[in-house]
Amino acid sequence: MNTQTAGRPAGAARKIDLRSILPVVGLAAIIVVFSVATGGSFLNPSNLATILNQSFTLILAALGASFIYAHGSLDVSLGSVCMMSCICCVHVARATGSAVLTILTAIGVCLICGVIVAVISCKLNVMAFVASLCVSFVCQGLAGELVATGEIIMPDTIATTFNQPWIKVIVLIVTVAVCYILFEHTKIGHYNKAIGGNAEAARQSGIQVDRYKLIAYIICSITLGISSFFLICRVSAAATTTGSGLHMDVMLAVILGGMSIRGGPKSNIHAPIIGSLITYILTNGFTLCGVSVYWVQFLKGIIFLAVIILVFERKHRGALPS
Amino acid sequence: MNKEPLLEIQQMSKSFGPTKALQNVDMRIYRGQVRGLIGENGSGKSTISSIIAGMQPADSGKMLFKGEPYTPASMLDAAGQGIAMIVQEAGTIANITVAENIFLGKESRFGRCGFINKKRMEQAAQEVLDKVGITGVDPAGSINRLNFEERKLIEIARAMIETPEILIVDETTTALSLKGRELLYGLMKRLRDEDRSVLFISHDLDELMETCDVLTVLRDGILIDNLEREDMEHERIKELMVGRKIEGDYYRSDFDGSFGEKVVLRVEQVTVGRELENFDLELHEGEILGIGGLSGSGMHELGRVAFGVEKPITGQVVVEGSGDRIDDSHTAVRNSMGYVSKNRDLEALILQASIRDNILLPSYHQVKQGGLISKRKLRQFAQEQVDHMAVKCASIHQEVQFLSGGNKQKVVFAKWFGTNADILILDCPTRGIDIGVKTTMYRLMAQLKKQGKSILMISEELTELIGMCDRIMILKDGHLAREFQRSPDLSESDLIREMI
Amino acid sequence: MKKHLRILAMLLAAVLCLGMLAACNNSTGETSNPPANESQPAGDENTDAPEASDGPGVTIPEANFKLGCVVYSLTDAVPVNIKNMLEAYCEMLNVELMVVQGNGAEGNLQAIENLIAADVDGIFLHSAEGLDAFLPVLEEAEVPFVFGSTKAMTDSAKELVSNSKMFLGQVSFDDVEVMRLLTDAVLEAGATEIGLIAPTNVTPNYLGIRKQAVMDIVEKYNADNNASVVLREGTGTSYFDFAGFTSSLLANYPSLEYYITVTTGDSAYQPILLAEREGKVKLYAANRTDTAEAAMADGTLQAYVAGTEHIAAEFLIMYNHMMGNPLSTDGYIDLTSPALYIDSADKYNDFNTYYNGKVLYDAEFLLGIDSLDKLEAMVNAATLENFVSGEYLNID
Repeated sequence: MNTQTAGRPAGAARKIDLRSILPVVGLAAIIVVFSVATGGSFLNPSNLATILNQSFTLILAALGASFIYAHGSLDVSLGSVCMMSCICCVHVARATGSAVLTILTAIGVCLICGVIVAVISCKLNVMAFVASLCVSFVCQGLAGELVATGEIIMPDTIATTFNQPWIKVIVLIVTVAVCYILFEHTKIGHYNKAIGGNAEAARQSGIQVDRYKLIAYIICSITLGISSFFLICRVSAAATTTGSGLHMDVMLAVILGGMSIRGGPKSNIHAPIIGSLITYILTNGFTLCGVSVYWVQFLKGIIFLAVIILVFERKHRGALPS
Repeated sequence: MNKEPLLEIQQMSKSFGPTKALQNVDMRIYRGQVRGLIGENGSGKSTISSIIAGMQPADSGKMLFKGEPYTPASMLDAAGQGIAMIVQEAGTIANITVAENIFLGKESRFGRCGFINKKRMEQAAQEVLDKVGITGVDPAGSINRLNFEERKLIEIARAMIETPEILIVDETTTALSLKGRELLYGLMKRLRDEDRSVLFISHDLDELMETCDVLTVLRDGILIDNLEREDMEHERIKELMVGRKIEGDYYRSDFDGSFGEKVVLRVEQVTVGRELENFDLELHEGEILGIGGLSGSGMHELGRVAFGVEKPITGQVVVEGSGDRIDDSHTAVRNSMGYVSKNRDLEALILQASIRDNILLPSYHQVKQGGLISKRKLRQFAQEQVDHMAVKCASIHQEVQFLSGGNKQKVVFAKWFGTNADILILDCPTRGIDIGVKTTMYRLMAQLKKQGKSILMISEELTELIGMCDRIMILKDGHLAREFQRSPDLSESDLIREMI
Repeated sequence: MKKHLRILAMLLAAVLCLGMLAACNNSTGETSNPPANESQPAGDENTDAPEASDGPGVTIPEANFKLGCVVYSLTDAVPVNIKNMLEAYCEMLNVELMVVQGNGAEGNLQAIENLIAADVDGIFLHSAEGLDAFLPVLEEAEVPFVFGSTKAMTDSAKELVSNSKMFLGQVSFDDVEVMRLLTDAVLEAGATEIGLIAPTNVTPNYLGIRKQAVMDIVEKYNADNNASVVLREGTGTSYFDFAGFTSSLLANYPSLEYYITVTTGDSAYQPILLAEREGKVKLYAANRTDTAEAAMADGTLQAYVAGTEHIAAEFLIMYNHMMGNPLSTDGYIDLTSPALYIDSADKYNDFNTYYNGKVLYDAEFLLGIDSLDKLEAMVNAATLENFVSGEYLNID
């Protein structure tokens, strides 16, 4: 009784299954619906540019966070770390006026926080979620000291230089490409997915679990740093409320994009992108259509529910054939 | 024996998607009969027993119990009607007491509205334990304190609360030691004497031949034959199961227990918890070294330490070739070692991952092209291994959790063959696997030995150790009790004597 | 199982599409689920008020412009009231209004961008956060805007808006004035120790301004009167954990009697109830408080300020501009609306009867406000006494 891979039995085909393309189909569907409902003004280039501008931060942050989600950890420090990063890099920008130093600060702050979370969770055997919660609190406490007057403004020169669509497009494309390669074509992605599937089995196959988890955090920190920098260039003012709730938005984006936050082998890199786009397109589209703001809440809730029901696998019940 | 069947199954069929698990099966179980059921993985034996026990419905066909139509809505319903089952996997719930486990689902007997009279439940539990013959277990204690075997015994107790008309035993004996098995056989005999019936599913031919009155053989969802006691014979049964004559030997045909001079792996004065104490071992090139013993003897811990899954308190494990100390699995894999854990689903496989991903886990460096992992090479590599091991699956993208036990184990082996490991540590490698796959495994092991690779085989199956190993070390209470050399005169009782 | 899933998927997709198309075709500015405060056209006014909102004698001019409005929350009383009132006035005068929620600097920016993409001609804003970022966006799109219930506070903000042609004006009550009312009352009552419930840092919004105001007032008082009134602050889990601040103050200072909060009294009232100090603690709040009735009845709430916003004024600044009659020709309009100071149960009743949730002005009145003088008069007449007597409509 040998494998018949030549003649694939119907139904057990390659995993181009309904569930994984549903988010893409959903994205296409809402684009179509909004284009029709607004008589085409949704597709206006300036509107599309607006959407890109708005979703840029979330896409980048979610891309990096996917590595962490892939290995099954939850990180709730993203919002506070983003805030810290923004505040610090504005200080550096005002002090030195150097764009390079500012960007490095933004990334550096995120790296420090990310590595701390990774080390606490791996070496001290604390759940990553709890470790990130602690780091989040520390950041919020520190931030108060650094923003005595409540808000600091990013110098115009740097802000306007980088707040340009073409720069963002390039950064986006490069980041997506790099993340895709890392996720699908290197050990980093494969190992993190394996760890998410079964950490012990991964370990017993020779994978250095702690090291690769750390790498995931590093990747997430880098994208978060870049994302924070561009955020502050866009919003100009850094306050203690900057970036708040980012980790929740990332989580929702990843779920909307069809990836389970428990990670594992089914994690993919297009989920964060699709989910982020869906989030911002919905808000934008509804506004364009003049939909009453209560309807918006209702519909967003239904969409979310639909995604969860249709995309995520429920546990099998009953005996499997043997 | 009554002429009326206690349970009659007529033309039962069941499919799972494209797979036909059962095809028009007719079967009659009579009172006062211990009915054996045997078949390879995929034969349908677990499917049919789960349908009888109420776990899932059949697609078509009829069941008659005591002459009346029988359609159980659930396992609890079936148990209420008199058909109880003890499952293959773990069926107890952790963190609650023994008594609570025994009366799972039936707590309402001991109280109302959520208030349960614990004392009464524990008393009743004790009665059941006595009835079954289980000693040394406290019904009020947490079930966490019991080991896997004792928990299985609790499941037996649960099935016996109200002595069932038909008791289904689904491959339970793999989890039990000698004592446990004796208890179960005694129970089965008692049921038979009381004019009840037992449906006994097992892979162990000897066991089935000893205890059963009639042995039913299934293959590919079809009932092949029902063998009476006098017709039961090893070769015949194997033939019926597999559908063809088994060529060649099951285990190794030679009795040459020689192996290379060179030591490849050295275990030095290793102590692990309370299970293993100052243990020494030398594994040689081209050697199959067997480790046997009772479940608490420390043999499983030996495997874990040898691969770096666990760290010893004292002592060390050294790979002779490189001189590296095995501190973690990564070092072990780097030194061309492989490990098959006895907890296949929990430790050796990533269940939701595909066959491809599972096989590639330690081998990504082999499928790189230009510094990056090539998807094409990934696919080729995995396909090669799957073909080589003849894994029965829909495609390499199928999730491993949907494979049968034997095929899952093949994937685990494929994983390590892919790395061309020189030293393999196997812990209970053929547990719960049917004869066809077992034969393949043994052949592979023999081949590896010829190629000069080394195998450390830890097993609870004595015949397997005797049949395959060059040397056998029997462990008892964390120490070496005795070492045996390969010999045609070696018998199980020789080994058992040292184990106890 | 697969079959059912497919049907469910198609059903949900159909419901979704229909829902979205239906919602999109809904006329804008309509609230399908009215919130707590019902907006009733033409409540009890004075003698000459006609029944319907547009009486037979008033012709509503055509308004072919679209307005947008950003509120920071759809559940808090204040922004909900703003939304309702704006919707009511817009509907009265046939103006299309789109409401979007946006919180914080980025939320504001996002909301504004989306509104501009939706082709609005003017935007009502209720938070200045992110001004540096959204002002250029408004300027580039040439969309005028108005601040309601908030003002440009910092020097840099003031400079930015005064240099912008898109900024039409701002209406809000004077935060400093409000805190003066409250703090003076507390000092007059003889407090030597005051619990201050405010954000941990002086934040760049009205809460921070209010906190700074209290601190300044007390400092001045101490200097003028050679006194040593002390301000105590609490600790919490975040900068805005007002309930937490209250709890910690209650726990750490058992003898502390007077509390001033820069926000609503609700977040302080619950902890006071929990600590069973109602009636023993005297609370002064700077925002509208939903639990005011109960809190006043048991003696906890001594005074609070409600009704910060003068929404009609905010509306009129924009409306007139859009109708080609900008009310100011040199610089932006800066109006301060009277704070509705409530320090007794009677006043509370008056507030609820004559102000809360009432659409105060009708179309005829609104159309009559066509100059800056009249606008200022209208705003100045909006005191609680005038609401009760109906005199608020008398602006000649």
